[in-house]
Amino acid sequence: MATTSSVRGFAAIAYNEVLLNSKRVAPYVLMIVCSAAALMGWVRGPAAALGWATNSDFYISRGLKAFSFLLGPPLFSAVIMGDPVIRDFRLHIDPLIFSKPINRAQYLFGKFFGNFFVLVCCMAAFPLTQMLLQAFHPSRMVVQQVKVLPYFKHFFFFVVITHLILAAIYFTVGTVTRNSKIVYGLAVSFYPIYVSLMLL
Amino acid sequence: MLTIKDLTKTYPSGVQALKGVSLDIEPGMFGLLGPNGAGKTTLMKILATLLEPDSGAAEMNGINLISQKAETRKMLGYLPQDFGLYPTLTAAQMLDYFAKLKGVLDKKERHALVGALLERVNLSAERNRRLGGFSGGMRQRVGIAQALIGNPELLIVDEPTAGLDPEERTRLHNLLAESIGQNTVILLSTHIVSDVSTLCSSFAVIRGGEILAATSPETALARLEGRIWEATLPREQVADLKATGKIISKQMAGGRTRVRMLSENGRPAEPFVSATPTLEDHYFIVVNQV
Repeated sequence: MATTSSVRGFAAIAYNEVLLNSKRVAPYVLMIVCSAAALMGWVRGPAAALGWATNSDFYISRGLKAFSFLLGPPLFSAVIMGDPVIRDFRLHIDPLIFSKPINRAQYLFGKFFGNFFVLVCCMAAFPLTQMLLQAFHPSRMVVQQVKVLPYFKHFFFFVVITHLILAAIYFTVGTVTRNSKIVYGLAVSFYPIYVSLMLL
Repeated sequence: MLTIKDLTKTYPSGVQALKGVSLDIEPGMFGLLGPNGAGKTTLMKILATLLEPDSGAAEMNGINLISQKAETRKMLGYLPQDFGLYPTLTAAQMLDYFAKLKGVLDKKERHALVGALLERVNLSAERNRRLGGFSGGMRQRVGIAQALIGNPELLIVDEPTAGLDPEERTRLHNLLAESIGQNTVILLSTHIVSDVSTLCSSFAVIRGGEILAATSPETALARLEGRIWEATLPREQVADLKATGKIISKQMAGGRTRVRMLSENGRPAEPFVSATPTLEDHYFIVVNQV
């Protein structure tokens, strides 16, 4: 009974985060950027330039790896994951929430997974666009038989799992410091740190 | 019955907000009256499980409000002094969210509850309007509505009428008065004396973290009967009266000062006349130790 009530509390908070994000501009902008990135990769990427098959397993995984770290999703993670808790405290909604029978764990997990779900949905615009583009291609572009599963598989491994860690870092920093500038500062410094580590 | 015993709280800054507060509160509406910084909000936050006291106890219906937080929150409705709402959500969505948090899991039941609450606070017509466009009074009514979810046995309202126009204040008074159940304790914190005289069956005056007096409005007024005197005087005459130390209040009116005095031994001087005691007199006498 207690477990059911814990799950319901968590689910209520997670659902509310999805609802709140559905009324923000940022998630829609992120979806458009992700779709645009997929479109760019299709029009100007190596598939067109080097004659690789656009929907080969190798090309899909290569594209999603590049998308995961090179095309901005680390910044998108910060935008979505950095301020859900900060927002509640800034708007003074916290006393209304914490005077209800929910505990901190339900609250934090609900906030985290609600926003992570939104982030994943936004980033899923990239593989979904690529998947749709299999149907439209110029005559010179090499395309294998239509595929669905590799898009989901590589998206899950190269984007969802890696960004779960990054999202957890941004969420924790935002929750602990309650300062979105620190979260965005961290997001901006991601690329210099990432490049430095690659060069070492 | 709500029993509060020897509650103390000192903030890390060194401010001692509560210095051993004890109160026995019967079902009904209880007013907590005090100036700004008296410790009212600290006491409310402790009772609402949002702040830990340094020592002391609080109990209601066999539930320890300090240690049994989950149980306390199930029977609690809380309207804080400063609160916000998600500006992009509608009134119905916001209340639906709070109802879920309060444990109302059935969708139909929740829908009916939200509708009834909006009806009760006279916001049915605004149910699908975004909260960002609500006035201060409307937001306060949404705040009351969320506090009433689940018919709480303990309803804590902290300065609910601050900043409201007279019409909204009356509306809020009526809402609170309608919320008194047979076993409900409503704790109303305010610095507006008329809120207490209008609504409360008993009240306490708090200042500097200490309870200075706890009584009913009728008893407080009865004690002052025949002891309050009033006169309108030029400013220089008021200065002479200060030495007596019995001035309750002074109010400027048309270049002269309306003075109310406490006198145990009949009329203090010309041109004072006997005045009907008010709860404000009691408040000033207690707070300023006249």
